[in-house]
Amino acid sequence: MSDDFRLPVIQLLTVRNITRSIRTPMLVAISLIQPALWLVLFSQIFRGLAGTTQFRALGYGSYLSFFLPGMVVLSMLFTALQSGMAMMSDIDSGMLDKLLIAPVRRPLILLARVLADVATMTAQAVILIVIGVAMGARFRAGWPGFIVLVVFAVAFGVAWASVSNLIALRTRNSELTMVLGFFLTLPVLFLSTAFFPKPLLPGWLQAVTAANPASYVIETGQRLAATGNGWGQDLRTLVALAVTAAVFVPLTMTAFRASA
Amino acid sequence: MLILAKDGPAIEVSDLVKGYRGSRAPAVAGISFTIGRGEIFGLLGPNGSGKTTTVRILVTLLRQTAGTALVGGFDTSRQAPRVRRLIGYAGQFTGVDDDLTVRENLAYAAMLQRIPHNESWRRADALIGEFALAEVAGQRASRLSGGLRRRLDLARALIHRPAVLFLDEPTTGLDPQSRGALWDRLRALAAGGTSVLLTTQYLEEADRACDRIAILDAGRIVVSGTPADLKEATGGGQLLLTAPDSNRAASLLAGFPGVTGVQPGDRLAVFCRDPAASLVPVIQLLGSEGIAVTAAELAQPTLDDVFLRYIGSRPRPEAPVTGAVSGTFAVGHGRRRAS
Repeated sequence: MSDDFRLPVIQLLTVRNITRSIRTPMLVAISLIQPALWLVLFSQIFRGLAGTTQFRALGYGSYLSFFLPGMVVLSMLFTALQSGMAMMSDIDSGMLDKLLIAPVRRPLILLARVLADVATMTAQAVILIVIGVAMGARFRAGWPGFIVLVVFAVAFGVAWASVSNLIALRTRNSELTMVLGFFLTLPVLFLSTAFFPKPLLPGWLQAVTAANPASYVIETGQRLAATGNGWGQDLRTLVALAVTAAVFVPLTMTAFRASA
Repeated sequence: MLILAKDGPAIEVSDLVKGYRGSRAPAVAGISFTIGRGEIFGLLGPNGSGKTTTVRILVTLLRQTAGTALVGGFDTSRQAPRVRRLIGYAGQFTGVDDDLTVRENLAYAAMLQRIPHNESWRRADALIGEFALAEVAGQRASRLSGGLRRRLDLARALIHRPAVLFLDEPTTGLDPQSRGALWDRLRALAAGGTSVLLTTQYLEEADRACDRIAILDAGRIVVSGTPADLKEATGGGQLLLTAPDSNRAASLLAGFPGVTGVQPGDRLAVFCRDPAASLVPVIQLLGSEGIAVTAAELAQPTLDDVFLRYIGSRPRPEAPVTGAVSGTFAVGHGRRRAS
């Protein structure tokens, strides 16, 4: 290595963020264990549902195949929550101050957070899908379908991490960041098609899922499992994610700029 | 050593004001001071007097409400990126990365300052030696005691050899030995042209370490100058005499050359401009009047007296946030933000 070699700043910042996950593997494991357990539990509980003609008519091979996308998204929700917690930890420890007064361009600090989240979330989505497939989940769209699910799930995770970071930067309180994050996590999952196919949901809930970006990603995954890729569905999901990001990313960036 | 903009002072603060939303009185209410190159300047004051706010404005972490602050000739609010290239900062609450080892923390700080990779590790190792961190170099920072964390944070602030160094309560939580080492280190840095702005609650340290000090109270500088000048301005020191007939002795000494005041009591307090010089003449005078002094104590003025005079109370050092003892056991680190 030559004596004037320097790591790019973005790489320095990202690697530091990932180091946290690598050196405290429990953080990653916890975001995985819960969805994995639910995968086992609910695929048993709702096994009967998969046998009904209504459910069969929708094209799913098993409840497990139908349920897997919801659990991949749940794992993204947990990791998004941790992203805000990591920001809070940097604020509390004084590390953020140190980064802010280093000769580092500010947007890079947030970008590094996003890149680290993408790395963690991708690993988690892949691991969950591997667990699901090992348990017997099958996608009609095949492995390209899994890739599409991972891409959409991670994109949603990053957008949702911006919500969690927004809470951290505005409250500057780690308890609030955690409690508010958890407060939002389960409703996002329950007010989606994660547990029951859309046609089986009551009308009002169908309307609510239309306003829930997580539900678009879950529906896309479920469609990939049941009938294969649908470009219209992909496009709707893309728009839902773009709108979510367009709302929250600027708010988070403003909150970050206001922090110094 | 980074080059400052012009040949001007290292820090120039004029009419600086900072108000926080929701509080009536501003935290900093119009202060001005200048710090020269190679000068160690101490900001002293009771809790909440505006020391930390001033430092945070200077290191570009806060924006002032009014006034200007220049570091190395650059405006801290309009030329923040230029200022950031010049400064090193160790805050009141240590900012180290818990997930990295001591050695990694130092090298990482160097790399963030765009110091080449290999050189970063070399500097990390050098500072580990200087700050006596060798035994814990491979340990994660989360396992360090309060004193060791503080030392790591101080080493971190120095790794890029900044031209201007800001240390907010740097000795809080340090053992006496580490304090002594830190002051020696700062002296050496200042001799090499580094300017240092530090805040402290330990007056005897400020007295020994600082070239000049300013005492802040309620966001204003109440007095500033060299420690010697400030002590002299209190009216000098005292002679504490044990002698019979303290009232008659007091009246004899009133108006005696070099004596600025007397206060009779169990021990007669004689205020002198220079107590050491007045000791013998005072005892001789009393002896010639038949008053035998049986014990005499010389009390030189301290910054405590200066503080007492301008603030009305002695400062109470803040309880260390992290453990005060240095050792190999880990203590919880309840870290809170300054407000």
